[in-house]
Amino acid sequence: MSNIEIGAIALGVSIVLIGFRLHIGLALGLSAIGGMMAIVGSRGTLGIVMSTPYEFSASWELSAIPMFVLMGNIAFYTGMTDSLFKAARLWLGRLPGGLAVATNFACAGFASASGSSLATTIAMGKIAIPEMRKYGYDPGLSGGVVAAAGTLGSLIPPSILLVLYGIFAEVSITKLFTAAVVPGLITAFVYGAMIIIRAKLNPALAPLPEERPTMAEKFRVLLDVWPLPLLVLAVLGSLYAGLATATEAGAVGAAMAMLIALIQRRLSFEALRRSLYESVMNSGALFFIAMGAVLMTRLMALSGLPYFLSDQLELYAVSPWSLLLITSLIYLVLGCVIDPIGMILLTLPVLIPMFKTAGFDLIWFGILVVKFVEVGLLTPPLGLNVYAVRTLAPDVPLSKLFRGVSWFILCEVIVIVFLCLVPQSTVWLR
Amino acid sequence: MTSLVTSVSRGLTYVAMVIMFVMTLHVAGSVALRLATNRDIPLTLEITADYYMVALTFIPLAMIDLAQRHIRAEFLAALLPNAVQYGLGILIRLAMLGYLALLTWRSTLNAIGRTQAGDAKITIIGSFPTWPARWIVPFGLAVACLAALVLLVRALRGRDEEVTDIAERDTDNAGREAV
Repeated sequence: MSNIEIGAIALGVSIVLIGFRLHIGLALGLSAIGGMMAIVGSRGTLGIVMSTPYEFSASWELSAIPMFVLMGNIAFYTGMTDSLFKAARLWLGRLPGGLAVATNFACAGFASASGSSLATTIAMGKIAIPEMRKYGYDPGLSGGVVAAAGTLGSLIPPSILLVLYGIFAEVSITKLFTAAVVPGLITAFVYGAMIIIRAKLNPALAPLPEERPTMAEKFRVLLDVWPLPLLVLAVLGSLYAGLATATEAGAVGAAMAMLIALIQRRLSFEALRRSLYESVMNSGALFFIAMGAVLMTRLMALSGLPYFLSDQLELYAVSPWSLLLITSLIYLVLGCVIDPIGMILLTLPVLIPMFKTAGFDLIWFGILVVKFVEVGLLTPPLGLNVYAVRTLAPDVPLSKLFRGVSWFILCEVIVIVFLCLVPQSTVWLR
Repeated sequence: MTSLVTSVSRGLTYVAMVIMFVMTLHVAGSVALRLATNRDIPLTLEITADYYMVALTFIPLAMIDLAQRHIRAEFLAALLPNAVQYGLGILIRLAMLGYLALLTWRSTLNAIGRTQAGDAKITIIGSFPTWPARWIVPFGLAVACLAALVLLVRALRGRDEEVTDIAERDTDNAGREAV
């Protein structure tokens, strides 16, 4: 058996093992070790296994992850969402579908403090779904907007997925973050436009609330949301100005989120304990997968599989666009069964070398990968964000939620096509 | 044995929580100092990468397993009959134990070797020892092995779904999904 075949088999085995409920990190690690045994023998494999755990974890780049996870958890547990939604509601509530539009932009705002889609969906859904349903909003629309706008959490910086992508693709996390700003905003505006158009055509979807806030009320509510622009400025501003690395920006963001919550009297000991506990568990579970993925990356390099695939692409003159289409299909299929982090870490060891050879801009490709993963969060049967909404609105049938979400998937397709046709959209801020 | 492993894992999780808090203040403090005086807190990068990060990766590993926080999917497993699922549960626990044991064994040898070599990094303010950090890996992994053993016993008794968690199981477990 050739090394290339061994690499391909190990990759296939890891997917099957994941299907049989093995922890994703374990499945990746075991199949990588098996593959290495077959290629370099037990001595070589044991040598690689000896130093990998330490060398992978002792990483300054990787340390950005716990910091951004903590920042998001603190924003979550200290209730930053409440004031954000209230402000969006008072300012946007009178538009057609106003509460849904408000939810959408409040999610975009929360996404700039949180690096995760599920966290954004859950945090915002808890407040926004009951409010929209109180005013008689269509359950498909109210659930759909929370599930879909939640995905902005992994696109609008900070983003855990982009940090992971940056580490594995060896590209600058700062560049990835700045590249994601415009596509994130475009997505939020396309979502908003779609909601307004739908509500205008069919007002029964989103009845207008009677609330008529005065200008004074509207400005007063802005006083409550001052921490958010400050956080964005501290995190993105320091990254963009080159004052801080990703880890430093994350640490400053987390420390500032704590300080702000302290000033607003929202930081109880319990909230801090929960934030730290969840962050330790979340980032630890993620590192366990990443360790398996590092072993898989080593195996891929030893097997030469990614380079073989790149050669085949050249040999058969597969155009870069076909490659991109194939990639999007791979993510669509995987997204039905595997969670986002598992998906990214499973695919990048093979895809990155291929895309390097195809001459793609790896920053632009990173944004697209996150987009593909986001669509995976919304599509049946797994659609993690849709399931998260289901836990918040258990009486709404899943079929109705998926139907509500389908409008947002349509928007995603439009945004993805736009990003492919106008790659400059990811370069504007870089 | 179960309660001892659970207590140790829980204690280590608190240690990891304190480390994360300290790391946040340390790195943020270093940035603040740099803005004020143009100088970082010395060795911030080295301590973060070689100590905090290694600790955050391996110290909570046992609790992550006990609390069933490892990320997994089950698109094929769901199709299997119950009796096979039981066997599968045991196999998964055995695989985890084997994987962790292999990593523990190899990283212990690594730590011994690096200790004998007196591993250190050369920094601007002199030599910074990194060999002690090498021991965090086998230590965290060894406790994780014990946790995997506890979970294997649980799986053999058919109580695979039991969860040991540090936080009370409340209805509001949304934060579990924060990544």
